[in-house]
Amino acid sequence: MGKVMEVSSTREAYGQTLVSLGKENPDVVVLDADLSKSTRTVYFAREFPQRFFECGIAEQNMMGIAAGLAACGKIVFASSFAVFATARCFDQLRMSIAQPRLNVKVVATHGGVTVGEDGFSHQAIEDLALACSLPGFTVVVPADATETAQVIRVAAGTPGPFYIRLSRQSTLRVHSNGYQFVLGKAVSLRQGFDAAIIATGVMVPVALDAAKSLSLHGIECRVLNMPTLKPLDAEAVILAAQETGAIVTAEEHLQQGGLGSRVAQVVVQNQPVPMAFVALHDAYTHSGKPEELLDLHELTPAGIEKAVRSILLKKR
Amino acid sequence: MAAAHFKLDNLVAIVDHNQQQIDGWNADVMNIEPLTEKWRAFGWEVIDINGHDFHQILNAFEKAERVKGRPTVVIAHTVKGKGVSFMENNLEFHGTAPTPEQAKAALEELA
Repeated sequence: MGKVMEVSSTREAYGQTLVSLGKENPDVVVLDADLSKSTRTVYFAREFPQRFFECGIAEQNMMGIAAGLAACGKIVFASSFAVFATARCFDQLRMSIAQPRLNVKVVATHGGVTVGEDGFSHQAIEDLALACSLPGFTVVVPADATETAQVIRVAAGTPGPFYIRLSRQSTLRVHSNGYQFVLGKAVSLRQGFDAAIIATGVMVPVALDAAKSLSLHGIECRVLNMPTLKPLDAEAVILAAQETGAIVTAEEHLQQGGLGSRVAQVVVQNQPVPMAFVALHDAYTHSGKPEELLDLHELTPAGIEKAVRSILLKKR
Repeated sequence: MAAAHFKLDNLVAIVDHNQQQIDGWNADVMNIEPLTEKWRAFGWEVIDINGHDFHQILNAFEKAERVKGRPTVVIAHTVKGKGVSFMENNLEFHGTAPTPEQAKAALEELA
């Protein structure tokens, strides 16, 4: 588990998994909005041109077409960048997909600030809040390529709407080949009883680094990868609160509406403990290199360490 | 745009074009004319009809079936609340259900 820090690309894994699914199931169809090379749906488009629908720069219409195809019994994957696949077409996600509970898998790449130089117009930092707000939507943020491949397969086999957030940049590999993703379940990556770090997506390897560093100072942190934001694994959260008494969440997203908010809701209702949120704090950011932006917003091992130390002071 | 791009000749859209919206006449709130030319510019076959005339409606659908290679839109020119004297072109009924008494009176006029 995370011993060999290889690099893996979640969007690359998505593109390849779509091709496998396409071979196995003739009902799988894929839609894109003029970004197929970036989202990697282009691999499916090349293999199955009759089942690929290029919708152009018209995400709202793409979601309508996706809903229509799903209503006709297809398993629909609709992709774009996370900013365009949520904020721009939120009404269509709500009225055409969420309300009729259609079988559409919105798979968004380029989530978070690690989009980098494209700047704040292209950095999706509200997408998880938007997706989680939709009743009936399942929301998943895979941490690496291994997990992504499994999440895509599980989504294809699970009826109903999904929002799956992937990244632009390659991430460090956290899971070994034998890893088994279970929808709605947290994954324990490191045991500890001083505090728990619950992370999602690209923040999972960062959380592991922070835990390793804190361990050198005698602070043992539990690290949970929380790929499924909705429905959240409340059981794992409550257990972490009971057994560690302090929780830090880490996500590449605004503090409100994403992982931190969802974990906090479970904590305050079941087992109130001090919490800290490693996330973006109610502000848009800048254009810059992904690493620079992560540093600027303390979405780093040091940032998580600081958060852990701050709540250890509050812990009784 | 997408319907024309995908050459969806089995698709027919119908516009109930009564020229009104909640805040008033389209022309005053936000003009949408020329509607026919707009649909045509987006690659659709356009058929303008009197939306209250069933023969024209049926003829439009028959014509739409023969159109190949592009979708068809039937722009049905209508009068809001047609046939009920106190409802015709009366915006009060855009989003308000008639009272039981109004409903009874309306059905009598339409009978």
